[in-house]
Amino acid sequence: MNCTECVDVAVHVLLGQESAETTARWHEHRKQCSACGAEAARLAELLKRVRAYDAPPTRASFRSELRERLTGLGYDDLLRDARPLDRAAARWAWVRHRVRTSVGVKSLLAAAAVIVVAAVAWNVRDERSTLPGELVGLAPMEPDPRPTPDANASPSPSTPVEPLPAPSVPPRADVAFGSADEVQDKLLNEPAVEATPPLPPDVLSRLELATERANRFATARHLLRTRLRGETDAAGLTPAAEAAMRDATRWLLDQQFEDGSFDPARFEGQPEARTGVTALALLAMQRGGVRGVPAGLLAQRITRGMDWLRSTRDGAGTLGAVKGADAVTLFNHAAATMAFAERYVLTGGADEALLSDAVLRLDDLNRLRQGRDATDGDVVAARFAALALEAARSAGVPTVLNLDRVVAQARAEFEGSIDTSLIASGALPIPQMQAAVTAGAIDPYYTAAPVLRATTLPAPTVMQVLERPELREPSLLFCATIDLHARGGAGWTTFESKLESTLIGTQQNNGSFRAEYAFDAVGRAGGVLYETALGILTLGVPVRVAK
Amino acid sequence: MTHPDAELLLRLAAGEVEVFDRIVDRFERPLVRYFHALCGDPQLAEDCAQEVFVRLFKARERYSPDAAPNTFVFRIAKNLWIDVYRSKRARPEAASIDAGDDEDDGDRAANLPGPAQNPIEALGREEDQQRLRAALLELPEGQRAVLALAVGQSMKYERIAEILDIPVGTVKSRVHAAVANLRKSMGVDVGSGNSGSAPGSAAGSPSKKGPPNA
Repeated sequence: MNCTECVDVAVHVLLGQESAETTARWHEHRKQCSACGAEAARLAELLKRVRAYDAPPTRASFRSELRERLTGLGYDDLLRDARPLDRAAARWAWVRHRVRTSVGVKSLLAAAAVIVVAAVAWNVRDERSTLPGELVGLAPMEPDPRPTPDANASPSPSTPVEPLPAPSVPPRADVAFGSADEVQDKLLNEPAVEATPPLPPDVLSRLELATERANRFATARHLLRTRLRGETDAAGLTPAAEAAMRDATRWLLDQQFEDGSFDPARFEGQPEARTGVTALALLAMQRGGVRGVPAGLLAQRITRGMDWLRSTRDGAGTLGAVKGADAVTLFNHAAATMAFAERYVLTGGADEALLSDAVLRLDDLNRLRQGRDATDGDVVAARFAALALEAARSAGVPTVLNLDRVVAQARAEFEGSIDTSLIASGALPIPQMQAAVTAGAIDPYYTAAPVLRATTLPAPTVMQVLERPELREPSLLFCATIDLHARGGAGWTTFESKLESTLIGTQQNNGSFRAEYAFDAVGRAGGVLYETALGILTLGVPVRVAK
Repeated sequence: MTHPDAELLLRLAAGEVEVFDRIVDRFERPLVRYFHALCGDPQLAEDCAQEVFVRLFKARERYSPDAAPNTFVFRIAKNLWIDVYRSKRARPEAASIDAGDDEDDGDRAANLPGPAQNPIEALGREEDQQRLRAALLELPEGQRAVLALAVGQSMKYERIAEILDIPVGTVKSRVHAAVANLRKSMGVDVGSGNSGSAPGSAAGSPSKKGPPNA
C-alpha cells in the first residue's frame, strides 16, 4: 500500500468498514510511514470527537410526553387488554356468568358444597377423637366409659377405682432456687459458660491479612473499573485493534439469545460448552470502552447473561456441569467463575456467596481432575482454572482458601517440576504438551505458566505461540499476551505488532475470529464463539490487564 | 436466531404492546443522538425521536423480519426528517441560532460542568463542542446524515445505503467529503497540514505535516 492509497482508505479503516486484509495492510503502512502515521492519528482524533458529540441527557418528561401522544392511538387500550391480570379477571367474570345461567352447574356446585361440608365435619370428628382425654372431655362425642370420680358414689366391688395418673410435672416448690449470689456463682463456675476462648495466637496477623485484603480489593476494584471504562487513555490500543474488537463485539451481540446465553453449537461448537462460552462472551463484552457499541446496551445484555449463568448452577455448586466431560465441565465452571469475579469487582461485591462457593468448587474440580490421567482438553481446562483462580485472587474474593498460597505453590511447583529443556527447545506443540502432561513431566494444573508469571520462560519461547500456527490455541495466545504485556519492553512491542496482524488476519468479514490450530476438546466444544470471545480478550489485554 | 431487536419488533407487530417500552429503551438514545447530529438542537431532536416512536407504533404491523431492525427504525427517522422538517426548512436554521442557550430546563443540569470538574477544562470542552457543532451544521445535509450514521451510530456502509436509499459508493464518497469538509472548517489540530494548537484541544496531539503525496 502506498501513501495515496493509505490516505484514501484511512477514514474507512478507522470506521471499521474495510476488510481485515485492507485493514492489516493499512496498519502496516501506517507504522512504517511516519507521515501517514501522524495523519492517521489526527484523523482518529477528529473521528473520536465526532463520535463523542452527543445530545444532552434526554429530558425526564420524554416518556410521559410520548405516552400522551400514543394514547390517542389506542396504546393504553391495547396495553390494558394485554395485561394478564385483566385477562384473568375477564375469565373469572365469564365463569360467574355461566354459573348464574346454568341450572346444571348450580346443582353440581350444590352437590360439591354438600360433599365438602360433610368431609370437613368428618375430619373434625376424627381430629377430636385423637385429642388428649381432657380436651375431648370438654365436649364428649360419646359418653366416657370410665366412672366419674365422685366422693359420694360408692365404688362397686366388681370395678375397682383406677388410680389417677401421677402428675408428670413436679410441683414448683421442688425446684431449688438459690439466692442471686448463689445463682451467679453457679453460672460463673459452670464449665460451659467459661466460653470466651483464648484468642488464637495468629489472630492478629489474620486480622491484618483481612485488612490488607480489603484494601487490596478496593484498589483492585478501582483499577479494574478505570481500565474497563477505558479511562486510562485510548490506552495503547491501536485503531485497528479497536476496530477489530468492535466488529467482533457487535457480532457477539448479534448471537446472544433472549435468555442471555450463547449457543456454541450454532458456530461449529458443541452445546456442552454453552456455559463457558457464554461466560467468555460476557467477559469480552464487559469492556465498557468498546467505542461504537452503546455502553447501555452492553450493560443490559451482560446483566441478562449473568442471570443466565447463575441459573446453570447445580446442587454441588458447579456452574455448567456436563456429565462425562470433565475437561469441558472444568472449562465451563472456570470461565463462569472468571465472569463472576470480574462482575464482583465491578459492582463492588455482587454474588459474593456464589463466588466464594465457586472458587472452592473450582479447587475441588481441579484436584479431582489431577487424580487421574490427563484427557483431551485438560491442558486448556487447567489453564482456565488457573486464570479463574488468579481472577478470584486479584478480585479479593473472600474464601477459606489462601489463594495467595495456592497461586504461589502452583508457581513454585511449576518451576520445579517442568522439564524446561523441553520448553527451551521450543518443541511444545499442544499434543506434545498433552503427552508430557500424561507422562507426569508437567502437571496440567500449572500449564498456565504465563498467567502465574513463571518468568523462567524466556520471552522468545513464549513468542513462539505466534510463529507456530499449531500453537495458536486461543487461550494459550491469551495467556502469552498477558505474560509478555506484563514484562513490557521491546519484547512486548515486537509481540504486539505481530499479534495484531496474526489475530486480525483471522477475523472474518462478519467480525468473528476463525483460525486453524490444534483443536482440543475445549476448542472443539467452544467453536467460533470461543475463538471470537478470546480474540477480543486478547486484543484487549493492554487495557484490561494490569502490568 | 432472530436478532433481539427484531424479536421485539415482531412481538409488537403480533400485538404484544407490552414490549413497546423496551423498544423505546433500545432506540431512544440512538434516535435522539441521530437527530441531534442533524439539527444540533436537543429539544428538536427529542421531538423528532418521539415522532419516530409514534410513527413506529402506527406502522408496527408493517415490520417484516427480512429487514434489519435498525434499518426499519432509521428509515422511519430519515423519512420523518425529509417529510416534516427538511421540507419546511425553517427550524434547523432557527435551531442553529438559539439552541444550546440558557433556555435549557432543569433536566439538562446534568450536562453543566459540575463543581468537581476543572472549570477551565470544562470551558475548553464546551467551546470545542460548539465549534464541532457549527462545523457539522455547515456540512451539506447528505454528508451530515451519512456521518451521523457511520460515526454516531457506527453503522456499516451497506446498512446506511439501505436506510438512505443511495448506493454504497455514494455513502463512501460522502463520508470522505464530510470528513474533509469538517477538517477544513475545524482547521488547526485536526487539519491535514496546518500547525498550531486549538484552545481546549486534546493535549499531546503533535501537529505534523500531512503525507506529501496525498
